[in-house]
Amino acid sequence: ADAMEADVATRELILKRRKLFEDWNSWRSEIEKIQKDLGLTQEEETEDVNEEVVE
Amino acid sequence: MRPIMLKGHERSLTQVKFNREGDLLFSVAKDKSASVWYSFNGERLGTFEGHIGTIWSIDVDSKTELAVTGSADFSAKLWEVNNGKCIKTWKLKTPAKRVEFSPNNDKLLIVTDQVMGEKGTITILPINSNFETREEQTDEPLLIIETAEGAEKVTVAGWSYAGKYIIAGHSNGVVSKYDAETGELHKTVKVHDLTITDLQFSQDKTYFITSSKDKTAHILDVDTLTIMKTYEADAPMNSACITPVKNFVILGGGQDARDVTTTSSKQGKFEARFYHKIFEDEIGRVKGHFGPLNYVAIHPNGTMYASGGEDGFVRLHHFDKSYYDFKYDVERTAEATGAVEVKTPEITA
Repeated sequence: ADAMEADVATRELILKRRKLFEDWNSWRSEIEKIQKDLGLTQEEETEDVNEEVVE
Repeated sequence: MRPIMLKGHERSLTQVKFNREGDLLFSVAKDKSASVWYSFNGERLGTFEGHIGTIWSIDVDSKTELAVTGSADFSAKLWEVNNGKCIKTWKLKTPAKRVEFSPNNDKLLIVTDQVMGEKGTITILPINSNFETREEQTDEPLLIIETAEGAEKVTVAGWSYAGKYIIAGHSNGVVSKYDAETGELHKTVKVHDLTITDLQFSQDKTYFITSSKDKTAHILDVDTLTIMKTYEADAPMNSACITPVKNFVILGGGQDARDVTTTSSKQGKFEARFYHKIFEDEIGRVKGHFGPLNYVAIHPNGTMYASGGEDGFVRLHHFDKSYYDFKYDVERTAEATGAVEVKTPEITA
């Protein structure tokens, strides 16, 4: 918050980065949704491990 | 970030690649043998012997059972990883420049060079990965994608998500996209001014990074081939990869090999360069090689990277804490407010 008040250039840079960050994340969520809808999301392979407790 | 030097190759490295688990590193060079190393300590596990020319490319399947190499000796070879035995040699009309298994290991793509009046191709072969019968491999390709009339030759290629598309980089800076089943050309986009030297995908294979002799790298979206990001360097770039866990990309390159003797390592810009993937800023450089970096590869868990140099060495860098701690304020804020998921890698000593 302090940096936002420092000067115009810093403020603009922060805002620019914030936008780039948001744009990237929204693009990624969009792609992830498409992949999921297509059934292409590779779920982590979880193996059923029957753990035996040896006492 | 103390590097481990992998000394074993006698000539320039051409490609380095981690297996899916990242416990092994595969490397190929202009010296005719492929090497397999433990990524943990840099000890060499073994070599694949049999090629009689420069090996341009190597890949390993997702089960670390089979490896493939593509060579300037006009052949591609299939190897059993656990014993280094060559189980198949495909004879080609021209050198093999790039080889890659499809994501589910059932196919192999080979980029064959366009030389001596022969057209360049992307040749797709079926792979029999059945443990019992895997010595039986066919010579019959499933598909041959010839370089289109008027198009420049393909230099690099790889499989997109689900093995659905093949994305290729061309010597004139064009990226093209094909249906991996039919070979139908979907789209071409001029991305770079000069030859595309490398093309590596994100972990989910929905986007990829290209590097070029034009001193830039770009991230493109697989579906639309839109340029999403641009990274500018001050030397020709030979390779680029996208780091999982952190939002970085790593670029490697430097002054061209033929000019190296006239250049000191200081001027040659032989460093691995780290850029912020989203903000496109250069964050840092890692020195070490005394020739251009021909290839950079990232560990699948994002815990280390490897670079293969024109100097004949592979350098393996395990990331330390400061690498993971580095964050922009914007990222820190987003994490603090829960806007983005925080991924924490397992850091092993």
